[in-house]
Amino acid sequence: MLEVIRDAKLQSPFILFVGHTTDPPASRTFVCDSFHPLPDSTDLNGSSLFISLVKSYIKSSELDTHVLCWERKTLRQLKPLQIQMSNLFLHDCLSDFHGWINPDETQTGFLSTIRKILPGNSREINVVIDSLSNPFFTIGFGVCLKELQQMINSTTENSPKIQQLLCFVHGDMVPCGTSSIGHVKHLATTVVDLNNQTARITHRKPGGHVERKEEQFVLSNGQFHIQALAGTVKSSVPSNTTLPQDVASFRVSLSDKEKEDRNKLVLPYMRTGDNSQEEGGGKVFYQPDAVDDWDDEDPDDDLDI
Amino acid sequence: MAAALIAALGLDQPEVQSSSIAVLEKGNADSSFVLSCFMWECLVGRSARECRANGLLLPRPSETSTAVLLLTCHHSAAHYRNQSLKLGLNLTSLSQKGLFEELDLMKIISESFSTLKETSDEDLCRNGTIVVKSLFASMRTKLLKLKENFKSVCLIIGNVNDLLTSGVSNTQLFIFINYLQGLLSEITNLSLVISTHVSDDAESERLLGAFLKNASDFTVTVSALQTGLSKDVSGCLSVGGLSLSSGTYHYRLLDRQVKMFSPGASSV
Repeated sequence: MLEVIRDAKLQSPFILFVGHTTDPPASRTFVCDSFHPLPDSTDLNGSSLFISLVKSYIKSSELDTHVLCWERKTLRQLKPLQIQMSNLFLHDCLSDFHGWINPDETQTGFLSTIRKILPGNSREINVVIDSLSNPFFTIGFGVCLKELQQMINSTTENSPKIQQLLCFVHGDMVPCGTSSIGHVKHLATTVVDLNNQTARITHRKPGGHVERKEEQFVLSNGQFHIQALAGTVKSSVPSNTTLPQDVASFRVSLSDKEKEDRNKLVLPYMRTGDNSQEEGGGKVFYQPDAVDDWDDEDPDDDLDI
Repeated sequence: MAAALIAALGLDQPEVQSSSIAVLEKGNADSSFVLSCFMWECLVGRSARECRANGLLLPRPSETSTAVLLLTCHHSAAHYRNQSLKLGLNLTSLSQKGLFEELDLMKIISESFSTLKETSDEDLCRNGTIVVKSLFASMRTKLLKLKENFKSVCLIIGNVNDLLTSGVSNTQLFIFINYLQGLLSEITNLSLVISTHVSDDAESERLLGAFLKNASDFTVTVSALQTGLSKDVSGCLSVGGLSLSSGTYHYRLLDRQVKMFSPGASSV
């Protein structure tokens, strides 16, 4: 499904990528076993995957894509692409968002930032935010959630319709504890949990069905490739489960003779060879009950038709 | 000397210039020696390498030099002067040449409060914003002035987490760091080195550490040996980043140099 998202083909208004920091794999821990370095978020929490995915997404999308860069590495990596792609609009949210240098440049949120360099003929756009963790703290968690809601529903006047919203959030960088990430996930129609090169995708379809997938990815030369999940073959059901016939005080199963008799039984609603010639048209059979109040008179007899 | 540390961590690579580096100190470790080594790299190591590459014997100031602006929060300016002197770097003489400037956090805080004519309740709530705003303004002015005279500039902030105990909230501090990151787009050849103390017990420090780590291009982590004390090893140093190969080293602080070695090779 990551490839579908990358090709801008997934019908989902809000796709949220959550980067989870974990301890480095055993190959990256060193001789000094007492030392546990901080998790290397740049490699392991999926932010590199997100940037790689966004690059391909911009190339695949026919609509204008506005990227709100809340991390400098995003801006630096997407800047060369801006020269090639005319449908890419980068917003530097680090330089003077709060108007400390130039008070006239003060911005209030995501939408006000987008409107600053929005072409007049833009009716539908895609928006990418990398990452939400920064504005959650610097703008406010509540304000951000409200703006995200407005962007998904496109309820703001004088704003183009936002066809798709892609956001990345660091799972360990959310105000009010990591449990509050649930509020953001609730808004999203597709949630991609990235953890140690594994993506767990939960996609809510418009009808209400939920699709869950797990994919493993490898990054090489700035491109990601999907790999078969290692160890996903389902193991056989453990034999310690209790079967009904082991605990029931009566016989649950049928003997061969009983099964044969059961198969021979013709139930009233079953079609048999006798009425096969009547096939091809519908017919209603009604067998009145003994207690039915059956009236043979025409109910419309008194009408002058 | 500091060259061993800089070379071992791969921080002498060209891509490290005009980038942001987070220095995280964990536990009882003190990362001020890493900052002193960075100062040595900017003021001596980098320009010497460039001169050698161009076949020059003596560096020509302003063409190849990197000026350093240091904001001291936890340790005093005198601490860094003494530490740098042991690495063969005389900050006093360099500041006379205009290559080195320092700012004291406490001085700026007291100045920013003294500019307030009346201290209302609202002002008290906004104290943190006033502090970081005036701090950023004075740093930006100094950096722009240094950039006029020198090829590149390096901003070093020691223990930025001390702002949290000076009435600045996490939000205000994160906005301040955002603005510092924004300076990297505004000023060419600017490198940014910010150190902070990370404690798993204090949520605000943990968040600050994670924020800095996500915001920076490279991360240097300094931590003590968790197995106890060793006469051969002072602690652990690790580096990670986009283009640098990650690695962990043990270090030993000697009187006039920082000795680096692979874990388990302390006698080499």
